[in-house]
Amino acid sequence: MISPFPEARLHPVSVRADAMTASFHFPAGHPCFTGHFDDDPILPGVVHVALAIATGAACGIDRPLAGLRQLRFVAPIRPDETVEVTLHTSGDVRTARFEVRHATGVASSGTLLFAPDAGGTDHV
Amino acid sequence: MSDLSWRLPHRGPALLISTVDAVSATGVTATARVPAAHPLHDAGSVPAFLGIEIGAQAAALHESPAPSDAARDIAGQPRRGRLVRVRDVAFDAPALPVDTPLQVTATLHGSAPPVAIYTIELRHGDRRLMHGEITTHRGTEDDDR
Repeated sequence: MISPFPEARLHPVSVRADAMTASFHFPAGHPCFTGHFDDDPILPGVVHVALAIATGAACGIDRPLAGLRQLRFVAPIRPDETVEVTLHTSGDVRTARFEVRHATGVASSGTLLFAPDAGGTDHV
Repeated sequence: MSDLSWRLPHRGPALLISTVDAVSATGVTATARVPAAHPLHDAGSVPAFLGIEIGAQAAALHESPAPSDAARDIAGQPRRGRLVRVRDVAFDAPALPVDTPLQVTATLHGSAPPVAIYTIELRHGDRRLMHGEITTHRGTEDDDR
């Protein structure tokens, strides 16, 4: 899985046993805001998913995405905001919950579903 | 400017719908095209989850009203809806091709205005690329800036 927005990710990435957290900053004029929307730029919802994937990729999680169990949008992210993305891992390597947080709280949350390991090494 | 400009607030590389093919009370079918200038473009494709945005724009077309003062915000622009939830999405392909016509269908599953639930499906010819369910909130006067 390609990790988008390498230039937007801030260092360092925090890694714990069951979660990893990365921060991103999208300045005004970032391509993600172009045309979305001209008079009120906000980060497209699918970019929240891209941030969750990028957080995992920064920590070596590179499995193909098979689906989304659920995704909930709470608040928009606007230019010049710094967001913190946490990816929660568990014994089930095929799912990962994530949260995107900004200064005023949770902006979005969801559950990613990854494709099974082709080598059949998945285990709970 | 695309003739969709009065129906969708998206512009430039953010606009992913090319044409509306059919509209009914129960849904909409449209042709989508991801431009090469899209920020998620890499080596001729974009991640399959961009299909969610395509489906959301198709749903917005189904919800977009006829041109009228009551249907626009105070600046005269298409009132902006929001994607509030996505559920049970499956990606049948890992990526979507750019600059390629894709077929998107948004079928109304239920609504309690201003909230509506759609099932969405994206196809390339006879190959399904992704499908799932989205919930949208149609903008109201309270959302006008």
